[in-house]
Amino acid sequence: MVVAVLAVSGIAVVSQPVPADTLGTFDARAAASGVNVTVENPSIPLGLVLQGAGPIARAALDSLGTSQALAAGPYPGDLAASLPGTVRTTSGLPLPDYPLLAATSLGDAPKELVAPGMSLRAESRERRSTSRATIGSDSTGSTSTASTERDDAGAVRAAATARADVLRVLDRLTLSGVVAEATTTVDETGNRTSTSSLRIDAIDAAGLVITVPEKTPSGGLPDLPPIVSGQPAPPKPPPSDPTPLPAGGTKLTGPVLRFADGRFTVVTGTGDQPKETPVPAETVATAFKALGVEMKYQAAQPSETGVIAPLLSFRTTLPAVPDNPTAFQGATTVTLDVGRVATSVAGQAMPAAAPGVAEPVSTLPLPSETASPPVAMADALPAAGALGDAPSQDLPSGFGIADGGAGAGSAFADQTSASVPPEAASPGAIEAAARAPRSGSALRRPLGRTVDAGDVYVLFVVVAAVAVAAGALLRKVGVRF
Amino acid sequence: MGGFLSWLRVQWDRTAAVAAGVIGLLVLVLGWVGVSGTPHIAEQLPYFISGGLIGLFFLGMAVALWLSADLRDEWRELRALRTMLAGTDTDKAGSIGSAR
Repeated sequence: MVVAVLAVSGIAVVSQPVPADTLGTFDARAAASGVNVTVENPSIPLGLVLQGAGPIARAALDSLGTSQALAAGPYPGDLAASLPGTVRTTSGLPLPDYPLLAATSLGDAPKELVAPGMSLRAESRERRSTSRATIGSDSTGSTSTASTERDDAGAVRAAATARADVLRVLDRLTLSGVVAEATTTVDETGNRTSTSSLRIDAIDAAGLVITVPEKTPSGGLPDLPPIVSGQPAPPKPPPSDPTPLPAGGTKLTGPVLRFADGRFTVVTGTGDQPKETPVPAETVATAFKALGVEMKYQAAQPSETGVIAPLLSFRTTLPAVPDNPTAFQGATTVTLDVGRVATSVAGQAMPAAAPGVAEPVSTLPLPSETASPPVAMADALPAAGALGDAPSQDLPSGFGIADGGAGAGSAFADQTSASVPPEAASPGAIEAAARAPRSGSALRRPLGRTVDAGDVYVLFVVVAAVAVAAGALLRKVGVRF
Repeated sequence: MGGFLSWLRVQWDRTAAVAAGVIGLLVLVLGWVGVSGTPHIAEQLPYFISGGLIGLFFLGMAVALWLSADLRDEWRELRALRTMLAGTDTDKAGSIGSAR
């Protein structure tokens, strides 16, 4: 028997599993948040910031069997949504869970919640996790979708989309045709591809006046400096000769603006042939500032494992309410973020030659020498639930599938680190940056460190052999005499 | 045939040890085949549990049963010696008594 077990262990050691390149381990996450609103007022105790988002869709899938999906309508944030469950657990009060939420884990039946003006669906399967949240209707509302899946070939894909047909903010600002998308795919050989985009078909603000400058700015278009969370400002583009702008010098009152991939255009003309005139973003920002609205743009952020889609933010301060008997006093600052969409797939391809022999992290790319210092993904990802400031230098963290009182499971927040190459900050360079090979011989951080399953099984066989050998030895020296 | 069956009945622990060892090895090999067949940990986990752990359990049980059988042999020999010694003492006492 000893010989037999040793023979089996020998076979196991010699014949390693996984005959071809494939993703041995992976962790895919997708999150989309249609609109995020933040309200600040000095009379709110403790300086708390009121936050709200919706619709929210998140999905997570990994190689350890985790499959989770969450769809939420108006979402008060992870903390508030999980508060009833926490209070119920600690105090015994029969509080119901946050109602506008559909969350599933692997093994759950798909959940669908349909209420007037809202539709939520979450589904978690072994190889696919999807969620979809709609506020309003499919044709006139706001919809967020998130999906993570692994196909038969072994590739893993995470995709998230936030669409809003019409967004009206305080009767001052109307956004139509908002589409923010992010996709990250890792094929079976470990090649990662990330794409993202933000498009707004029409931005209309009452009283907006734009004067198209005569010439382009010296840096060319788009000229809006991207703001990357936690990163130093990227180098300014080299000066270029200003070129005349079409319709330069024209003063437009109440124009309809279009935004796509960091470029603003003014749409003029009607009918079948609308004319689009490029406008420097600085001009648009100045026009909004005259209205009392601060506009910011955050370029897409490629990371080690995925991408965060571009984000456009509008911030305005409402005048103080008149003296009133309530405690609500002072001016109120409202921030509207559009396009909080992010995807990531952390995966490790197992080489065909000798899985488990090489250091698992050695196959992962090394941040390039020119890359900025890494920042935590949780810091860089847009907060889907707990939202904070405008997308300025200190984006709030979050991005968690919190318990939510509905057993949604683990958090997205413990993501691997991400670094943002400054040269990839412009929207056009996102995909190229995500594809770009990075130099380096070994990754010094334990990124995605895993144990090869075949090695663990070999350990089982060795333990069995040792047990049988020990039994035989015991029989010889301890029992037989 | 009858002799073999009676041997199995007498040596039930060794029979069980051999059976457990064969089952353990078989399960271990089948588990390895299952683990080798997929690179995804989520799909390997059932083979770890049903192949690796159960295989280890059966092999451990085989070792314990075989040792138990060996111990039983020793106890049988000790009992036989004690019986023999007791018989010898009785004979000696009888022969001494008759001599007196």
